[in-house]
Amino acid sequence: MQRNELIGLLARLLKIDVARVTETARLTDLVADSFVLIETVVELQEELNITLVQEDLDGVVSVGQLLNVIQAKQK
Amino acid sequence: MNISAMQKRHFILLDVLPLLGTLLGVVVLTQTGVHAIDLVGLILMWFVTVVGIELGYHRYFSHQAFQVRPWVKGMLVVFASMGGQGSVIAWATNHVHHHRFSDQKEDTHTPMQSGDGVWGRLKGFLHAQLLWKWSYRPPLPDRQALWLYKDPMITRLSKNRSYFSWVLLGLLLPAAISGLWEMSWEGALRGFLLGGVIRLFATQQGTFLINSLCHLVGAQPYTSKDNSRNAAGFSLVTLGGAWHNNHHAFPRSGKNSHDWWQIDYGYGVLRVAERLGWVWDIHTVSQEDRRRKLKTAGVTTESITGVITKTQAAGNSGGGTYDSNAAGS
Repeated sequence: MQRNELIGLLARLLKIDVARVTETARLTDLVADSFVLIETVVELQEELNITLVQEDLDGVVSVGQLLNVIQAKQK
Repeated sequence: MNISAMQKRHFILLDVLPLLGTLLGVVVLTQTGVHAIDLVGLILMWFVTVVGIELGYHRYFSHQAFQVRPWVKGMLVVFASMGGQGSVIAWATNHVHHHRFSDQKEDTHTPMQSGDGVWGRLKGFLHAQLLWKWSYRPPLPDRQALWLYKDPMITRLSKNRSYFSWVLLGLLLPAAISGLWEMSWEGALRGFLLGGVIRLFATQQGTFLINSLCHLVGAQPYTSKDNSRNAAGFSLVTLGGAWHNNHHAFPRSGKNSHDWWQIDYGYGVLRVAERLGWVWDIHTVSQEDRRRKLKTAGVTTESITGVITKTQAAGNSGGGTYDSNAAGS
């Protein structure tokens, strides 16, 4: 899946305007509650049929970094 | 500190040190002797810990096999935390993951992915019994575990400072019991070693036996996509958790025993708590559902309820008939 498609998916799961989901946006700035991020990661795994572990998300702060992790898993 | 460093710190503090402490404790206790009050502390702390782990971490937080009052939920977290097996969120998330990928390469503590043959099984046993804690990659939650992250009490009690406080309490309580009873430092030391360190090590190893031996040896009466087994010999020390093939067949059941001779006094504790109004909605499995999942077609209802009847033709080698496996490990 291309990066712009992933951004669209992320915006849909987070239920926010896609314009806010830029590569440099901090994930914690996009949600009011950190639980939403956990829920979103669970949904991303289900939608994309990938399995992430906590270590994969170590140091992931921005949307771009999250997309890098997802695309690496999809290869 | 990243996840990997945190788990390695936890392994050294709460897996390696208790092992060394147990060896040291045995040496010290042979010199000092063990007093009756030390045994009271040991039995009390052991019971509290295994109730917390098996009924709390396992049947409630991982599988929601029953419902509890909020104060019971809090107590179960505290009791289980004293076992030093990780915070409730970490433990339950990993356990849910274990069920999803049981005995596959993603399973963090399977003994079945370390090669074939005797050497492979031995390596697998050691991995599942202890070494996985050093190297495993903590999974992210799947949908079944999500509720834990949303519950304020659970997230608060899962924080490192809270979790390690309960571990410490579990070490100091038996020291206080023996020390205050005898008003002596030697009593406190004996209580700390027996009811604290040795109890922590023993309850950990009891749980890890389910990861290791209950996926290697024992009866497998139910159809299962994994190698889970019923290891009758460990049912007492695991509060019924060792009826592991039963559990994998029906993960949400609050009752692991499926025959009159299968002892699951964890369920007995639940029934008492139910009478007291502390828990309710305990899930159990109907006889019909059990019969449907039995591996061996042709096993009669009687065999499920207690009368072990061999109805399968002799020579069935596809996992054996129910009665031939029923002796456990």
